[in-house]
Amino acid sequence: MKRQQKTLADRQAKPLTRLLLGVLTWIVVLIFFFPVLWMALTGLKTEPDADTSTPHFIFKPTFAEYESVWKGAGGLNGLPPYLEHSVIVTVVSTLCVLLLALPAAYALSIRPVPKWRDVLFFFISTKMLPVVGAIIPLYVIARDLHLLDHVLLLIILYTAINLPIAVWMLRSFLLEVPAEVIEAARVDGAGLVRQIRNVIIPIISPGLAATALICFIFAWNEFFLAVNLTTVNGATVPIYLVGFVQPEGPFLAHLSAAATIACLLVLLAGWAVQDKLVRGLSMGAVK
Amino acid sequence: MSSSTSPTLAVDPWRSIAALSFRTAVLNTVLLTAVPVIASVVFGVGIALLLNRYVFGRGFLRTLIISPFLVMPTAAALVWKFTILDTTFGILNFFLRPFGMGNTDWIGQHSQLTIIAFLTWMWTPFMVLLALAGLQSQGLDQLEAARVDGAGSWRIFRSLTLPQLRPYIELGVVLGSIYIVQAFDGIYIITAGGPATDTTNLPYYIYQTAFQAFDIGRASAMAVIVVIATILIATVALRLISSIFSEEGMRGR
Repeated sequence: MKRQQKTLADRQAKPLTRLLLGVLTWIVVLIFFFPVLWMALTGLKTEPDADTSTPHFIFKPTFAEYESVWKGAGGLNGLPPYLEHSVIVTVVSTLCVLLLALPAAYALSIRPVPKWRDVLFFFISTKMLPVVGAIIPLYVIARDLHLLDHVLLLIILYTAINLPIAVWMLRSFLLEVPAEVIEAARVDGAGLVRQIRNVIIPIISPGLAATALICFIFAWNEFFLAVNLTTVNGATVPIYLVGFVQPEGPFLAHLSAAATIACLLVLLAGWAVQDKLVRGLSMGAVK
Repeated sequence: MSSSTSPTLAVDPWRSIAALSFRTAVLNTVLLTAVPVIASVVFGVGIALLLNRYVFGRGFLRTLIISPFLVMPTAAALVWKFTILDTTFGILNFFLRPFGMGNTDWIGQHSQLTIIAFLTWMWTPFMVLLALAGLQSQGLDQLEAARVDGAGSWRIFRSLTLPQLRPYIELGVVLGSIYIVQAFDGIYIITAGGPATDTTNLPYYIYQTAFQAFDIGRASAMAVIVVIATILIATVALRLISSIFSEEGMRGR
């Protein structure tokens, strides 16, 4: 992010106003962040510390609940199989998206195919239809192909869901590759594959990474398709969490620990690409 | 429903769409989409204006503010339901106890407000990022010139900042609507559409019809209507993205 200079307005504002606005900014941001913080803190408590009507702000942090989430306790399953499904589905679908999106984005930017504009807008229009409109045909097709409750089904669906975003995003990065560089490589006798591998990919690698992470975030957090199309063998982390909706006995620390594990990876990934996040979410419209 | 009076099975789903609960679901969807979109845009622009100033720890605050958008909605919904909004164990009621509101049953009695608050919380970061991109595309020279000419802060905001932000806000409203209209995770976990049908939006209603009542025909009919309705929003969205697109991307950052 661009280093913010002090503007004339900032310099003119009275020190007290500036201080109050600063404090207000901190308070507002912390209110928004609080649920995430509270989740992480509660996960570090023991059950007696967590299940109180007067919250314990000072407590001895323990990883005991993380351990019990991992191993499974009190009739609840352990997290590892769900985590494994989530990792497989997310990683494989993200790789598939990149493999398919890069050539598509190339054909829509550097060497545009005829009617590339229509193609581009067809891609994006698929993002505008609600998933709920497609769930029933998807269910029927998956059932007939014997793919229900299978990780392969989620891999296919998440690839399809993220493809339009990835194409748009990668296209906006490819447009920033100077034409002269590609031209120079061609004059030097580099074929298409070498141009892409040795010239284009190194230049757009930050964009490639950001695209991958955004697909990763969407696939990791997806719930609607997962809950309707999987039960055990393809069930991902959100499905594991749904098991907490009807709890028995004290469970707040256990729940918070599980929720923290579920969110941690994506939080770190999102924080890492925060500058590019807005570009991905607006399909490359905002740079 | 009306299946016993219906002459043919094929027509039935279309006819029963007139049922009252479908209308309720449509109205709920409008409410549970429009209010969070507007609220998150207002919060988003406000927070972006605050963060666009010189403030201590600005990068850190920007990192924190995007978190609600990144956390898994399923996890966030569970945390909201059980550790924050719960009548007895929720920390919100602990904070409200000095004000005599410590026993409020938020999820049971204020279910729509709960869902609206949850969706607003989740989508504000997205609007903050968009508005920040808009604010940072603003020329500093222009602002300085206006100030030298003696324009006040409100005047500058209204006549310079707001017009500058307009396309970004429009984009936020359109993309926000497209995503929030599909809200499912929070409703499934926090209220399960209830109490009664107070928070049953279309995605949840279709889910209930298809996977709990196993009325696939009726659910498909509703889904078709949803798709047609979305095409209306999507047309606006596509036109907007297309106009931004023809300027080859808004310059931000």
